Amino acid sequence: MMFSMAKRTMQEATFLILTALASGSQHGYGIITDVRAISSGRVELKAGTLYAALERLRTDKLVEVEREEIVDSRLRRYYRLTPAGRELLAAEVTRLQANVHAAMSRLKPAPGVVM
Amino acid sequence: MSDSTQLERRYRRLLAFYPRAFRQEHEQEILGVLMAGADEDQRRPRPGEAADLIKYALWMRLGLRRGDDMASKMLFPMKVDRPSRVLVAGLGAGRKAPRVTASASTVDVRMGWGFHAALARADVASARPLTGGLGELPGPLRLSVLRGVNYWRGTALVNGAGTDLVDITLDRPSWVRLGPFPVRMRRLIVSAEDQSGLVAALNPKP
Repeated sequence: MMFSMAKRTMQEATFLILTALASGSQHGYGIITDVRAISSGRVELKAGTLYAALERLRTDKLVEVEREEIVDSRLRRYYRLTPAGRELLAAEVTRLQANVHAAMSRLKPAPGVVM
Repeated sequence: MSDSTQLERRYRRLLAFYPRAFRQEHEQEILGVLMAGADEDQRRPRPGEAADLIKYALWMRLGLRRGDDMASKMLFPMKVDRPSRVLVAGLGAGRKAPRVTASASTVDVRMGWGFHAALARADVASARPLTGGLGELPGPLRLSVLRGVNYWRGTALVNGAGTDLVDITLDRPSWVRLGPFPVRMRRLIVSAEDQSGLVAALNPKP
């Protein structure tokens, strides 16, 4: 499970879904609005994408269903990270941090350029 | 008919593209998400939204997972020693090396036309190195000279070397192909170039 995902670069949608769930459980629509907020409106998750990602994350045991509710006679499921999901997100953050650090250090302003 | 029921009906029609099992579990839930994201007077799914639903429905029907199933396949060539090469080539595995391919959901074992097993990953109960060599096996399979494809009472021996064997046990018998004949297999012994790698790849994840 870990090796299959950790070895590859995580897709941004996956990263943002895991981030949305990192501070607590959420239902599908909650994840969509949260991802929109986290990405400052840049990423608009569509329902098909979201549920394909959730399905994969559940198969990989990175995300699980926390509880179900009936709201307006519709089933609503709340998802949360598993410990493995939390670990994977943390590993991805470390990886991204290293990349950002490398890029920043090479982008040091050239002499005479005011940034 | 109100705008919202019309919209819901259209969404439902799109969700019909999904596999039945997925729909049974998620249809109500996804409908809820779609309706929550819809505008007050919206009557039709947005074009991008419809395309997205159909795309992932097809992905699921094809058993693909955003292309990553292909990427995470691991290939383990079978071990074939020099004297066995002619025999193995005779089984049609000359051009394509005999191999075990493991993905997150399947394990595929092939030696030319002589042997093919497409197993569900979930059916693999255990995989271990066969430390005692062929002598550990039941019945005639313990003959140390056996190479190529052999089968005895639910146990298949697909062997190119007689060493570095991996013993794979299944939870339930699976139909596999022995040449042209389908047989039920519960246990598979296969020689691997990377014995410990194959054992690690097949064992249930921690």
